[in-house]
Formats: sequence, C-alpha cells, structure tokens
Amino acid sequence: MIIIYYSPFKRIAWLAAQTHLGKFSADDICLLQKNFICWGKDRNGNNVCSLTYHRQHQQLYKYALQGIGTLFNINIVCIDVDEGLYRNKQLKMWHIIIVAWNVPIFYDRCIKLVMNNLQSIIV
Amino acid sequence: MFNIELEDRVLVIVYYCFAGAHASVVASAIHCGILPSTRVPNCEEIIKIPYYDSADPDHIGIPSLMGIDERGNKVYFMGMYNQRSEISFLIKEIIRIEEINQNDFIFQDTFPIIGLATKVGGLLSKRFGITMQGRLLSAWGIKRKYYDFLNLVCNVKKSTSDV
Repeated sequence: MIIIYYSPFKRIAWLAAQTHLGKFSADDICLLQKNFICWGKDRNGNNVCSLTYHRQHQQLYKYALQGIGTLFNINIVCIDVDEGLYRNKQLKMWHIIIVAWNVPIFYDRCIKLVMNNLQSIIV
Repeated sequence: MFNIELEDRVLVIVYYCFAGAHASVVASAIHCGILPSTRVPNCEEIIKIPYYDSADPDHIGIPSLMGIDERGNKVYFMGMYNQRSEISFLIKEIIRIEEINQNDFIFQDTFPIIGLATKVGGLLSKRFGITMQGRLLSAWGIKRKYYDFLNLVCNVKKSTSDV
C-alpha cells in the first residue's frame, strides 16, 4: 500500500510523512523541489510519501491517483493533512503557515502544536 | 529440444494532453486503428471518433480506455491540465516505488503537437459553448498536424515492439 500525505504546503506534507515514519524532526528536511517524495517504508511495509499541489487541482490529482491505482492494481491512500489538522480547534491557520513557511517568530510554539496534532491524523 | 512458448506482454499505453479531449483522443484513436495511419482524414472523420471534444471538465484526470491495439495492449487517454509534468512524474514515481516493471507501461505527452487552431477550437467549444465552430476549428488544426500525430504514434508502437 502507498500512503500519501497531501498538503498545499510542502513542509506540512513532509512533516506528516516524517511523523508517520517516527522521525520527529523538522530540521533534517532537505529543500527538495519535487512535489512528490517517497520517504521510506513504515513498519507494516507501506510506502509513505508526501504530495504537494495547489488545492484547485485536488479533483484532478484525486482522479489521477484513483486511475493509476486501478490501472496497475495499487492500493493508494491519500490523506489531506490540513483538513485533518483543522479538525482540532486549538490549531489555527497561522500556526500552520508559520511552520509551512519556516517563519522564525513563534516557530517553536507552532511546530510543537502542529506535531502534536499530526499524531491524530497518522493512519 | 525445448519448446518455449513466448507470451506477449500486455502494456498499458496512456496518451495525455491538457483536457483529454483532442490531442490524446486523436493519438489513441490512431494507435487503435480508429483513425487511418496512411492518409489524412477529413474533419468529419476526426469529429466522429469516440470521445472527441467530449471530455467533461469535472472529470479531467480520469484515464479512459480508447481500445486495444493489434498487440493486445490497452490504450488509454487522459487530461492533466497544466500539471502534465507533475502528474506524469507522480505516476512514474508510484510505479517505481511499487516495483512495477518500467517496460509495462508507456506515458506519452501529446499536447506539444497541437497548434493554435486546435487550442482555440477547444477553448471555443469547451469554455465558451460555441461547440460546432469550435469542434470544426479544432479538427482542422488536428488535420494540419496529422503527420506529427502519425510520427508520434509510430514511435510509441516501435517502442512497444522493442519491449
């Protein structure tokens, strides 16, 4: 199975994938320009990936992923990270933006909040 | 003496373009033998091919089966908007991660072939609802570039026979 963490913010999608793999660090994230990165396999042998695209293309990517899953018989699970994070009322948009844009002010506070909340959406 | 029966491998061939309504539909139709490969068809023949100029904008991204070619390969077409390089990279990466044989599929971009006439025709038909004129203009544009389509499909077929 392929587990894909999606967010329009690259760093948020990366963080979610890393959290899934148990690497709780935002510092070792390399500055890759790719929109899709496979970070490795989890304990169950699932490939854990991150995916970034503009939210206006959500349906296009959804169909493309479904289509490719059907064509090649691949089980693909795509998780909308932001949607999951917003479910928790204590997390505001600005927390995510500070982490996503790597803003130094309040960064420590925000990353702590985001990472605590990421735990609840990891499959 | 060994009696080895070689079974032909069935490939998945996907032609893609912007909306999955013109270029990819024509290329996949040529590949499946729906459009001629020895002459340039007229506009009416082009417009009559299945799925031509009929893609629903809400369903762009879904790979649709055009048919099966003479080797038994499945030929699909799909639209990817302006995300062609991103989505084709995503698909190739997923296939690599899942360790699917790289020779089992071909993804071919058809959008660079089409000219301004087809783009404007598609826009008139799909965006502004001037269907008849838009369809005719897009088909006229396809006709003008038909030999480029034949070359492209010929190269894809050649690469399938190399597998």
